[in-house]
Amino acid sequence: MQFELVILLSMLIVFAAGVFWLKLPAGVAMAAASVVGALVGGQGIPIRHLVEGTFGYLDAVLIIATAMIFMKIVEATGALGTISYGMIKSLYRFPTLLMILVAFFVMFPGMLTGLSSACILTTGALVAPALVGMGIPAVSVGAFIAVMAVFGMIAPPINIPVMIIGGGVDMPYVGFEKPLIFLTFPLAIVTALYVRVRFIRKIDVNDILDKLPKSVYAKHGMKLFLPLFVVIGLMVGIRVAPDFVPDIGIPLIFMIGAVIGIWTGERVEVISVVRNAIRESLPVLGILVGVGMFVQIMTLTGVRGYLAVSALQLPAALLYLGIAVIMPAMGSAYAASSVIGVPLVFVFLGRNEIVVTSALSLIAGIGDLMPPPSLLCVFAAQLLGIKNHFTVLKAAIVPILVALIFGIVTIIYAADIGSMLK
Amino acid sequence: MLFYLYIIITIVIAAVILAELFREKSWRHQAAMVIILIPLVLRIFQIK
Repeated sequence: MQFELVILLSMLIVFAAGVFWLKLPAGVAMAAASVVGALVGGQGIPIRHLVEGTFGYLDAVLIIATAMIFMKIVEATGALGTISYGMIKSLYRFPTLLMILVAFFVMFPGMLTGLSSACILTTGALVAPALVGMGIPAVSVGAFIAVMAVFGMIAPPINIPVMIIGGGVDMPYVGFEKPLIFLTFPLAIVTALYVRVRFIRKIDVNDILDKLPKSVYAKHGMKLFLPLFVVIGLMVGIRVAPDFVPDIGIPLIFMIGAVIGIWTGERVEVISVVRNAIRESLPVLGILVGVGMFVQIMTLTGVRGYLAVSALQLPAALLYLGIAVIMPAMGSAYAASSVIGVPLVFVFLGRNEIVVTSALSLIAGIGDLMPPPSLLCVFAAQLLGIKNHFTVLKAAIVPILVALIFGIVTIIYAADIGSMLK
Repeated sequence: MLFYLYIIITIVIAAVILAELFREKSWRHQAAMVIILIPLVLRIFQIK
């Protein structure tokens, strides 16, 4: 057995034991695995490398923290509730269009924050009662919201798994918008249509509107949506008119949006909202710091190079099957991106690397639904009062399989798709 | 200017996490908060 494999196995065993046996948060378990990996690799406890690793995803840490503050403030102003109310009230006669818009609405916080859990905790929570009221069984509503949360996390402008893979192969986060739209929007529409055709028959709009937070549009007018316009405007402006809109960075854009949001709607308890936002993002922030340490030690001990070389030697058929099975089985989009995603980009060098990385991020994203953590299914089950979160996962099997097949096909035809999207 | 704004953002996030650290009862979650604070504090003090 190769020595690098021994190091990797020791790291994975410590990580698994930390999470399942000691019930440690995933980030702490990764940090512990990194220390053990360094010890087994004969590096002692390399404090400098461990600290260096914590900086690996500092930009993503700042983006997630500020994005969560922004989303929580926008939610507290009543803007999200008003959008949800207005959408149902104006479109209940057109259930197909309504379901597609609900899908994009659920995805929206994930698109801006790069966080799948943000979709469930904000927009998902807002539309869940309405979806149940439309006649969709609770487990299917949970599955729909959980799957949309994955698509939202992968959809542009912010995609953390792509940033993680890009950080590992020195690829800047530029030019991913079209491939990520190509990968996520059609899947979201197909999933929305699947749910619409399967469950929705007749909509009792009054019953649904009673279950939703009331619109505060009459009280605040268009001012209510100003933070959303500012954030989207700045993000688009930086790309479309870089001569006029300076690139001030995504965290600062979110903070500007959050500060504006304080005065645009219902009264916001700023300190309480900011504390909530940071508290809810802590598990993900911990994972990002832990992943940084994990990757740093894998690089230091030669495990990363070993993985890349081994992946290059796999036969093609086994490789695609392996990607579709192993990446989601890691149970976390971030872990799958950093451990398997990075070497896989090297395997597919020569195709369109941006399209390949985008597709790998989609497949890795499915990991957030999968056991053992099943993070999104757990959140969705909690939201809908479902005791067994595996029923949510079971209800999501069809969209998950479709997404995996679409991701693999995209990798196979990455070069052609890349040319088509130019 | 941009540099100082980002330092302020980092200070705000670190301060909230520090406050949560002292409120938290579980040592497991406290450990997670400590590892998140490492890069934030080092960046605030410009050590790294």
